[in-house]
Amino acid sequence: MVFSLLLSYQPKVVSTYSYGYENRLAEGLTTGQVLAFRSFAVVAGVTNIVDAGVNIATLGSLAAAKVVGKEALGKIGAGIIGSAAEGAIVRLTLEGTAPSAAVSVLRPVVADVTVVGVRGGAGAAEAAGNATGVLGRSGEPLVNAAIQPLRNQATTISGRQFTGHALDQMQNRGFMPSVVENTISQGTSFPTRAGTTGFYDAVNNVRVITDSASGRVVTVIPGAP
Amino acid sequence: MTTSYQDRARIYHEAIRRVLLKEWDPIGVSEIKEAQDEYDSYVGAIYKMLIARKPKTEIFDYLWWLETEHMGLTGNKQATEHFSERLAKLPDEISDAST
Repeated sequence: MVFSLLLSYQPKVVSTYSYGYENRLAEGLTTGQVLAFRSFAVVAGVTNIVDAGVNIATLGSLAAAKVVGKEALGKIGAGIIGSAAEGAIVRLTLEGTAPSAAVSVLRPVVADVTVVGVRGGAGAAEAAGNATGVLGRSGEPLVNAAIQPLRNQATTISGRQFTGHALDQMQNRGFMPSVVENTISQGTSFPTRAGTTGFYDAVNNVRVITDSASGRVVTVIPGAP
Repeated sequence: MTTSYQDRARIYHEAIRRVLLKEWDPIGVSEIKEAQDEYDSYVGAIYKMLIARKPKTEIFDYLWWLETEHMGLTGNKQATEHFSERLAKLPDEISDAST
């Protein structure tokens, strides 16, 4: 059996921020903008694999990613090692052969990475450089349409409470929960309005504002204070 | 005809956007240039309320929900009530300005 599977975009997963993938790719991520990683490895959990790989195709004019190695991992999946320049837009696809139809796609997982982050959503619009889809990106934030209902509700991710407003802005501005958590734990504080606390991470150049009493993340803003 | 409606909507949206950022600003980000769109997603709902001449209590309820639930802030009820009254008067201000 020859199969070619585009890891399908699942908005529910992405919108609940499974895309915090410094150590793992979001389930269903197909297209994203490379922020700062130089090399990466991806393992797609697929059973009954004879030969398989995760391919990277560059989209649009931002062609800067390439596969530098690929290996079949037998029954446990398919792996790939690649590299990409900052700003590249890449599409990940899974393809290969299997002895039967019993191909069970689990999820793509970054196995050994120096990935800093990937931003972007699925679809051709990203290839054209437009920030549409589910995530904005630096310099190209998503903008809520006037008639658009609010997208997110408050939730807790890895023990950190995020308000609906914060999640909306993280989507708009392309920041992952892991970046927010790192900013709060490792960043420096800066003065904000009474009742809130500001944190700044110089590495990711991002500000996080939390409610001082509860610790909930209120909003996330790019740039330095 | 269509243009006049579009113009009205544009004027309202600009005015609402401005007062949300400069006068409401519950998070305190109005001076941050990267956050000038912080409250843009709420403009549409407020526009519909103002056009429908919803009572200021309803406007307050929405703003208070945004502040305390959607943004998770402690909130300042008095300030929000005051701003609700301000918003409720916005259609008259826009009407006066256009005549």
